[in-house]
This record gives sequence, C-alpha cells and structure tokens, in this order.
Amino acid sequence: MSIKHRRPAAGQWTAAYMRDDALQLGRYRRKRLASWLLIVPTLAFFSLSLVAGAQAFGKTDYASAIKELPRNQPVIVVAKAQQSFDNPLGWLSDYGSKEVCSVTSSQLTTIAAHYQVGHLAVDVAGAKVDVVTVQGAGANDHELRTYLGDPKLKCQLVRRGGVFFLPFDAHGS
Amino acid sequence: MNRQHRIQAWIYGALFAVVAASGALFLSQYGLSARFWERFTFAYLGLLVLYTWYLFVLLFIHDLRPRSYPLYAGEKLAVVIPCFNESPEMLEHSVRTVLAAAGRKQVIVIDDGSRNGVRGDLAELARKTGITAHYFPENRGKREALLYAVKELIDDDVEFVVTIDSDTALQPDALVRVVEPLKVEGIGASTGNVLLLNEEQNLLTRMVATYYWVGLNVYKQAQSVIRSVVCCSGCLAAYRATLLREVIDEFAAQRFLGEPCTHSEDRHLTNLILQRGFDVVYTAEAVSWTETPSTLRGFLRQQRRWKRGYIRESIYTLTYAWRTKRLLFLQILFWDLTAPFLSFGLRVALVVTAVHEPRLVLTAILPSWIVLMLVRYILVPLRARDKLPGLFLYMMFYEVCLYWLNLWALLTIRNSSWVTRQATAQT
Repeated sequence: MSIKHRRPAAGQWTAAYMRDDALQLGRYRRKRLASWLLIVPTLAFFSLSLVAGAQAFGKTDYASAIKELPRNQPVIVVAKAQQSFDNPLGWLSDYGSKEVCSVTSSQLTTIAAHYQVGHLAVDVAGAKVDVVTVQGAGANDHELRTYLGDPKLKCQLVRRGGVFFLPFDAHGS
Repeated sequence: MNRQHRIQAWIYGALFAVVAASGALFLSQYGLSARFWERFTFAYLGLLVLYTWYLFVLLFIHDLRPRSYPLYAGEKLAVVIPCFNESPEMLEHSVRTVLAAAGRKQVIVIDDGSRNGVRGDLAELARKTGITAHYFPENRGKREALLYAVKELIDDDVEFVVTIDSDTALQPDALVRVVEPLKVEGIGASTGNVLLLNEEQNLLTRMVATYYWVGLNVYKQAQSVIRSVVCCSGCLAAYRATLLREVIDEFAAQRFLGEPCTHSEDRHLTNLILQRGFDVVYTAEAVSWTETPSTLRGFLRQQRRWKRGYIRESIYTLTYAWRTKRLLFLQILFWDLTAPFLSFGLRVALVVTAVHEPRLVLTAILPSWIVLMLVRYILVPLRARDKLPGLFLYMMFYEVCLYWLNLWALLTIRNSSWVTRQATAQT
C-alpha cells in the first residue's frame, strides 16, 4: 500500500477513487468478520472444557482403575506405598495416592481380620461395584503383599483428575 | 526515595511473595490438604478464561469498527536515529529508507560513541544527504541520545517526532502512517508494525517472527482498542513533539530501586505518555523492517534485558494507571505482571508430572499444549498460516526456557547491563 492509496482506517475515500479498493476492502473485512464465526465457538468450547476439567480436578477416578482389574473378584482400596528410593520425585506424585487391588475371597477375609475395613460403592460402566476400603497402619500395597504372601497381587493406581490445558501465557512477558 | 519509588519497591517485593505463595500452595497438597491447591488452580483457570475473552472481545471490536484517523497533511516531522556500533551498511540502508519515505522531515542521526568506525561513514553520509549527524565522544546510552536530540537538535517547528532504531528500514509510507493518529486529540504516541528482515535465516528467526506477529497483531492490537499500548517499539514510534519535550528530562533521569535505568527506554517513554493521560495506539499500516538476533545466545541476551524491562515498567505502570487508565491497570495487575509468577506452582506441578509420569507427556500434556495453542492463538492459523510452525516452536521454547528467565529477571532486575555489543548503555 503506498501513500497515494488512502488506507481503510482513514475513512476518507472518494467515490471515484475507491471503487476497486473498496471492493477489496469489503471482501477483506467480511472475511475477517466471518472468521469470528469460528473463533467464538472455539473459545466457548475451550472455556467450557477448562471448567469441566477443573471440576474433575483432584477427584479420584476409581472406575477407570477397577476396569483394569479382573472381573468378578473382590476389590480393595489401599494407599500406594511411597518408594522414594526408586524415584527421587516419587514422593511428590505418590503422596496421598491410592491403589485398587484385586484379591480372592479368602484374602479378603484375612485382610478384614487384620485391618479396619469399610465399603464404597463405585459405578463402573453402569453397574455398582462394592469396593472394600482398607485402613490403618501398614494399609498400603507394599505391606499388604508381604502380609498376604502374594507378591503378584494385582493392583492399579487410582488417578486423580488433573487439568492439562497448561493455563499459561507465553506472551505474558 | 519519593513516594512513587517506595510504591515500586513495595510492588517489587510483593512479586517475590506471589512466587513464594504459589510454591507454598503447590506444596500444601502434600503437607496440609489439597483443598487450597485445588481452589488456587480453579481461580487461576478462571482468570485465564476471563483474560482470554477480554482479549478477544477487544480484537472483535477492532475488526468490527476499525479506527479512522485524519490523513497526513504535510506537518513537519523529525526522525531521530540513535546509533551505536551499527554496521555502516545497515545504517546507510536505514537512513536511505527514511529519506525515501514520504513526509516533510528532518533526519537526525546520533552516534553514541561507536567504536567500530561507523562515525566516518556517518559523516560521509551526512555530507552527501544533508541529514543532521551528531557524535558523542563516548557511549552514553539511548536515553542521553534522545535527550540531546529533543533538546538541542530538533527544529522548533517540528510537530511530531519519530524514533527508529539504526537497524530499521521503513516502508515508503511508514512515517506518515505512524504520525496520522497523533492528529487526533488525546493521542500522544503511536507505534508501528515490525517485520523481520532475516525471518528466513534459520529456525530461531522464524520462531521470533511468530512471536513478533502475535505480539503485534494480538496483544498490541488489543491494547490499541483501549488506546493503551504499553510499549511504543524502538523500531518505529511517533510522539507529539510538545509532549516529548515535556517528559524528556524525567525520561532521561529514570531510576529503579536507586539504580539508573539504561534499557527498555521505549517502554518507559510510553509509560510517561500514558501517565499524563494521553492515549497510545498501534498502527499496523505503518510498516518497518528490522533484524532479530539469529543465534540462541544473542536471543537469550535480548530476552533477559526485555524481561527485566517488562517487569520494571509493569511495576511503574501500576503506580499511576489507576488514575489515568483503569482497564490497563487491571490488566497489568491481574494478568500481565502477576501471571508469570502466579503460575510458578503450576509449572512446578507440570515438571513433576512430566518427570514422574513421562507417559502423560504424550497422552495428555502434548495434546493439551496443541489445543491451547490453536485456541489461544487461533488468529495465527486463520490469518498467518505460515507462522504456525514458528508458534509451536515458540510455545515449547517458552515453557522449557523463556519462562524461567522471568524468575531470573525478577532476581536481577537492578542489573542495568545491556549485554549486547559489549556496552553498558547501548543505543
């Protein structure tokens, strides 16, 4: 664009002069405005997904973990043992984590005799599953394996909901 | 220490408290309860959503009702080009594009004690073209160069002063486009568009080109809608001459935490204009071309300097903007200045997750990264598709490297070194 061509923002077009440029300008402006038909829904979706993600934040997802275990066997919930020697950062992400483990009926009886137990109903794919919560000293997957003498006890980490939309602003500074 | 300096020191201290609080909230989920951390995360996300909508509403207003300005009508301009150790070829190219640009103008080049021999070339150029050249015997810094030009060299009948860098080339209509907004009452300064001469040089320069594009066409454009652009870039900026004469002494004498300020002078000059209640706008049609550092080392040096200036001048903005520019005040307070420090805990959480559960990097973090980019910077795929690869690169580079420079800049904010071209007060 040269100085001889009035720029759109100046708004000082003469009728004789502007014909071709005005057509282009009109097209350009229409295109820009039309892009908002895409921008607004995208932003709305982005905002809603952030809110939805935030609502799930910190919630324990038992159902997904239980799905990974064998069906038709009793399920218990225990704390995840912290293994700070294996992973220096392990304590940060393991802290307060839980695991669901699949046990046999006889193992469940043994556990109930030694630990405090409670019950939790979890909805897994539309069906209610009774999950036994195990509490008290040593109620973690590591000690439970030792106590039951079953090193192959199948356990699954229960994930807590997180927000991964990286709420950062790379142009903030 | 006057009242304004005390407030600046207080805000500076508060930023450390923000970083500490963010880190403490992250740790609180291990020692106390996750409740505080969850609420903090919700609040931060809410702020992000709010800021994103705010930005896009402003951009929509711009698209819906583009601003119009009176046309240039032959008012006299002064173009000031401070120069330090610039290559003679680049300087001559720059001066010649200024001379070729439309507009009735006085061209002033101030050599700020260059030691690379450019002085002789400048003298020859001045003799051939009739521009005004002035030489400092030693390097004094860009502030001193501008001070001298405004006080001693600019003609009395000059209405608008345009400043450009010595490595900037102008489009033929750039000067008149950039001064046209100043004909509107209340607008004190205007800044132009910056494109890169060396965009195609390597991956880094392509990345920086995207960074510039987003910075100008998203952030500066949005700021322009509320007439509160926070930085009139050194590459191309225009000021009312009367206003510049009024603020120039204060500009040259700036101190922060007792130390004289040498860099980010463009941002401070803009602050002084806004502080006096004048508006500052962005003029995309006024196009200039410049070079960006093409090595990682050079780019990081530049970023260190810019980040220090960003923090320092954002703090300065907070000391006055409540009286003159309330929307700008809220924007700086709740997002621009605090977000990089408020997000410290969230970034640590991200690093912990990535290290401890690398699988999540591929299954959750990377996809989120891409979604974030495509949404927050949706204007790039829509309006500058060729910049998309650069956007990916920049976002990754920011997370891995540039973000952490904010913390370094906060710690070393009193360091006034320019750290390029071996000078302490570069022009």
